[in-house]
Amino acid sequence: MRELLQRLSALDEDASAAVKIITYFDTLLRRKAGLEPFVRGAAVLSGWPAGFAHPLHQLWIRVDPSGNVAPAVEGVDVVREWPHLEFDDGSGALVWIERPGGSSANDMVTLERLSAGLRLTLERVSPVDLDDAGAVEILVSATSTDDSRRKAARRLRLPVDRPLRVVVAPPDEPMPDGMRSTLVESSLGTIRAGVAEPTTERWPARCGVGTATSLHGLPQSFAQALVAVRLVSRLSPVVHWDELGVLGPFLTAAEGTVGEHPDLERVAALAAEPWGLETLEALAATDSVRAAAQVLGLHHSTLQSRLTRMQRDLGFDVTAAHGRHRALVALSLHRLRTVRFAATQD
Amino acid sequence: MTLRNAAPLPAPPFDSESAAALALTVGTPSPLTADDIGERRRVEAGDAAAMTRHIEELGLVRVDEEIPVADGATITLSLVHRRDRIPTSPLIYYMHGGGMILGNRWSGADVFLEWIERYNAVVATVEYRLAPEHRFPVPQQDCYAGLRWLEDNAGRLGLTLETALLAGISAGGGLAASVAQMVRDANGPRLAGQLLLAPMLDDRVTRSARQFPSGIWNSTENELGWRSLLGDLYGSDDVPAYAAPARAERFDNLPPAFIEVGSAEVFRDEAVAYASDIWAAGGQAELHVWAGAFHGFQLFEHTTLARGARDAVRNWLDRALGYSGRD
Repeated sequence: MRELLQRLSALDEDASAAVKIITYFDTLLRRKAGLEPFVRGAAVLSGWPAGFAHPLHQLWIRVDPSGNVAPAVEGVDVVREWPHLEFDDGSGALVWIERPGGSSANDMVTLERLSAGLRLTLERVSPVDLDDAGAVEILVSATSTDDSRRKAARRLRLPVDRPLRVVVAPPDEPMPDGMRSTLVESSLGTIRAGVAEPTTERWPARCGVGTATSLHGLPQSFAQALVAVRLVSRLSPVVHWDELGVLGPFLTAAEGTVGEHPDLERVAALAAEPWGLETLEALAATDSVRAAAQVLGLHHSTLQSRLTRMQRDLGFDVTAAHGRHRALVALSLHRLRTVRFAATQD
Repeated sequence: MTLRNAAPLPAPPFDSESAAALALTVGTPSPLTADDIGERRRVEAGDAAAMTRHIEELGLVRVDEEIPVADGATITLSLVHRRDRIPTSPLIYYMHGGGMILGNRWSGADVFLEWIERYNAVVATVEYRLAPEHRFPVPQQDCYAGLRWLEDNAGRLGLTLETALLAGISAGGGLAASVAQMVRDANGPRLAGQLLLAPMLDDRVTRSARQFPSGIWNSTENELGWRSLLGDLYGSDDVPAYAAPARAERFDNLPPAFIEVGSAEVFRDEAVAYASDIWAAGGQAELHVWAGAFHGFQLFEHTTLARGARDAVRNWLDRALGYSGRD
């Protein structure tokens, strides 16, 4: 059985040893082992005592190659003589293998896997001092881990095993009771981000809503809601990403790739009139001038005079089917590029 | 019944640290089939040669005895002890594992080398004959004959059965349990204890015997082991208790038992039931079910789980032998 343990050890400096090391630490991580098994793994696989010091957390773990917990070393300076790796998070934490006379080919693989495993495990086992606002931010941030999202969801009393949606609203928009939200600095300026269960029927008066997703997908849902909220208007105050269909991903892709275009310039010119964009939207969304007038709450003849002017400025017929689609796409892309939110008093 | 096509049942997850070590031991064909037995025994013979060399290097005394058994054959029984053994050195009679079809008397010897070192014990390890060439009752009778030979020669060897323990791993644990019942039924010597590590006790398919279709000593291999041992008796109601100790009608007057098993192995349910049967009959048993332990988890000595199990065995031995082992 001692031979078996030796066969586990990665003393041989070939590629299969690196695979062993990676497999070992990945399995520990996947099965949510504690901190000590990671350090023990480094010791057993290298055949030398291994250690982990995290002064901020007051953690000092040292294990010998048989798996016994060994006395802690005094201070961290002494360990710098051995192969070691400092965490790159500025915490001053470091891991090491007490191999005399320099590191072996696989020591750096071991130390990298060890430190990565320890960092993720530390995050998992550490208590979080979160307020609701911070928890929402963790949920929608693309840099959060799934573990931290789970903790944040629990903090907000949101289900961790059912889909959720992200809702984005202008910063001054009141949220319905019970919807967890916070102000978030985004590429659009300050917006209000909330997280809701998919069964929710009560939305803010003006908002964009992302698709329903597992915790892992919430940053994606957030990105979708950031697109949808820019399409919000008086005529369509709540925009669901799901209902945009292929227009959603199309607009997202086009936002950065379509350069200047005459249609966009013409729509931008319409925005000079306070009624311009709304009128265009009504015309694009209905199939007759009469229906559009009804949507806008205008007399038919008032709209007819606006239409005459608009047709001239746009250079195409916005009452024909093709023209309506053309106008809708241009209007949507225009809003996507121009709608921004400024910080307001909360 | 065929387990291979059965839908997978939910099963306890493996201990994380043991699973990480297990993930590195790929390469052994699984499940083992009857065709693999010859090759596996050849590998084990090589391991045995290395182990006997190791024992020599440790400076231990080893004496091989040829002992007669019931059918006129002879089998080998080796006695191993330190040079400085003392008159009161306890006897531990060891039966190796291997599902009744594999292994030799040096399989798992690391375990008993520790007892020799810590307790200055004299270990007797027996080369019982294996199934399927030798079906029940041959392996059981060989093990029993070994014990009676030790009893007959105790004076010459400077041993007493009064403080002797039976010990076995896996199939060896089942054989140790059988020997304990045979000795009791024959009004033989009263032994000081039986150490049953992940013992193979029951040919009937328990819930845990269905739960592990893959891995070390899985459901398929367990069936192979029992079929090899029992031949035509397999699956019938006529399997005697000496073949499958869990089938005993009486569990009274057995030596105090230490039973160790993993929650994630085939032998879990029969080990738990065996302890319960001993208690119900007024006997003494100590049962350890290690959470997330698979069959053979003790091999990964560095894990916290294996270290806990090792400490539990040491603690029981301290009590069963009446003195604490030395580190």
